[in-house]
Amino acid sequence: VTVYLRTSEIIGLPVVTVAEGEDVAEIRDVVYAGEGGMLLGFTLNKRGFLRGRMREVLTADSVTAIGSAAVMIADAQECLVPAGDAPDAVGSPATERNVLGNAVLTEGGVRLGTVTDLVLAVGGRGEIIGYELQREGTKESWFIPRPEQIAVSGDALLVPASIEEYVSHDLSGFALAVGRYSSEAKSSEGSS
Amino acid sequence: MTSLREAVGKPVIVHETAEQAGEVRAFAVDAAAHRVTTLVVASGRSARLVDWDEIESIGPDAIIVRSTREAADDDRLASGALHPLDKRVLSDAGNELGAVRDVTVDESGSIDAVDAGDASVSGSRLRGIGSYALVVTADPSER
Repeated sequence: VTVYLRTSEIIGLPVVTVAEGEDVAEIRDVVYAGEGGMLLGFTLNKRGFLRGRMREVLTADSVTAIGSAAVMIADAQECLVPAGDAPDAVGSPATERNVLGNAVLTEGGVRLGTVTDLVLAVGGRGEIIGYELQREGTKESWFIPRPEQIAVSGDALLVPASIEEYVSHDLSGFALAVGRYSSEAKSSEGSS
Repeated sequence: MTSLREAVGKPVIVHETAEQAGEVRAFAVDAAAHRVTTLVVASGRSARLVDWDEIESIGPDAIIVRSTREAADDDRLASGALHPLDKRVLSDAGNELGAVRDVTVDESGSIDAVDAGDASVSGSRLRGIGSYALVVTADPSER
């Protein structure tokens, strides 16, 4: 079963060991590949009163499961690795990939809204599969699938005009839209 | 079947001396073995431990035991980290199922079921326990 979670719902989740039932860390941020959207891992905060950044990070390979209440791992000793020993993408993640607050424009010049969140598909290998947008002047939120072809400037995301057909208003509709998008639009983008 | 919830607070009497060692304050669970291993018996501010095998009987008014032992070298047991009641229940898929209302065990200490409020979890699904949570195998529908 694939579950969709906003990255804002994952940030702050405890990291819990399956066999010991201990909360050994807390998710600080989600690290994903700019191209392809694949989940790479997490940076971590300490639990409890002495919060603050942990030296260790958690790579996606070491994650047993991501749920709505916790990120499960097998063992703290093996799964939490010093940032220096982790692949660079996770150990020292680029900060310019932050698209939160960016405007989303279509190639047709239509402004769809502002990015307020990223949607992560959990189950199997995690992947960023879309964005949650806020439409200007409203409290409505929209979801769009993450396009294969995308230009990111730090100010704006420029997406194919065809994405407008796959806008949905809730996460369940979004799941259907992503399925439709990946079978239809991605294949035609690839062939053009 | 014995309810751990009902056993909490009962006086613990040592058979040979008929002395009261204290009252049941907590239990320690070995999740991988799906069983309760130890009773934590409190008397004032000190605590002693009773291994499950040392229990003679669990009656309506008291628990009769053969012996108790010091708690000092078993910190994790006495600290309550392995005590299941009221603990958060997480599936190994990372979802919260509720909090432990009660645990039922058979005479050998094997856990029959964990009552987590909305969900009842068979003892065989226990995977781990610690200060944060009791972790159980996810229901197939969660996967």
